[in-house]
Amino acid sequence: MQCRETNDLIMKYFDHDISELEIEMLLKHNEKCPGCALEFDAMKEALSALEELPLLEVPEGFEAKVLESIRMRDAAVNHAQSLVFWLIGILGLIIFACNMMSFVIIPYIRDSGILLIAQNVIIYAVTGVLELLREALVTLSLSVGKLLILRNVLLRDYMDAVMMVVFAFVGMNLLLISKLKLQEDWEGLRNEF
Amino acid sequence: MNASDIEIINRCLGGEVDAFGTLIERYKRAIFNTAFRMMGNREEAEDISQEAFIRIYNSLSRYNPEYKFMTWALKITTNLCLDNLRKRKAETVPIDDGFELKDGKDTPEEEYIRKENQLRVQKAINQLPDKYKEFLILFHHQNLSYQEIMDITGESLTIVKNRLYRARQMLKETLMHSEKEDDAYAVQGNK
Repeated sequence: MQCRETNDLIMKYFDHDISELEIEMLLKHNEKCPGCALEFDAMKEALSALEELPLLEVPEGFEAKVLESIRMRDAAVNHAQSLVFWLIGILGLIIFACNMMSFVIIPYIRDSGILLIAQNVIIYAVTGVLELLREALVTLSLSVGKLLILRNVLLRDYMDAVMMVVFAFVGMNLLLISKLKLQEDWEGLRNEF
Repeated sequence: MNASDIEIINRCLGGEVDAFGTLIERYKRAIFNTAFRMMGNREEAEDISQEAFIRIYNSLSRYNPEYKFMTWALKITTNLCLDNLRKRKAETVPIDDGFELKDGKDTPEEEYIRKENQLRVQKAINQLPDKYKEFLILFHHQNLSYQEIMDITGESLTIVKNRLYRARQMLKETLMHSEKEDDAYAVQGNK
């Protein structure tokens, strides 16, 4: 058997896919061929070392950590989903409202003449308010004029009254003075007699 | 309690997150150990295993029951490992020895030798190119069949055999090389 064939048998050996007969052939060849024997032994040593590497214990709490991460992700996804649903809902509502406005409410108002009535009502109300304002303005100016006239009248009457009092006072004084003078004259005459 | 994988998957798809705990319990060891041997580092292995299970959960609806669940789960794990190995190319990552099973039969000296040996093997695995490393670990550490490896990697039988052949040669040479280096150091030390 050639070394090349042995090489195939070596690989079959480590594939765990080799017959008893083939193992025998391999070992027989190795007895005669130190190169192949060395190759086989070195490979066997290396792969046994690899196969014998211990299986490690998984760190404690591993499952809990994984489940926790999954739950957190699920929660985040649910949150995002509900947010998206809300946004879609609100958007739908806005679109519905716009459609209602442009295709139902506005045509209805236009066709029913409510708009015209509303326009008239507004014009009537505005005119009414303006009228009221004008009247208020006129009344105010008239009242002010009247008040001024009244003030003048009152002032004149007041002056007349004051003058009358002054005249009365002066008259009274003059009367008293003349009365005193008469008395003095009388007493002077009596003393002469 | 002993529900089949597919029953559990259906329960998970029905919204029972806790049912997924059973699947984690069943496959965490294989997944964690594959990730550990691929990355050579416990911390990264744990992160990758967690991420792998999360991805598995999220894509449960795409699981094809024709394949074994283990094969599918390992496919996701090895893809994640390869992505991470590609990303960290330039960085050097410390290697864990991963030695923790003490059966109490070995003397401290034997235990030391065994530990050293395992560290040497893990170092040799780490030195292999990523595309070879994966095949070696799946076949010789996880004891998967050619068919399962073909399902996991998506490669043809010829490529799987070829890569495995090259990977074995590389591992053997790396180990022989490191052994020689160790011997040289020992000789120098003795001098």
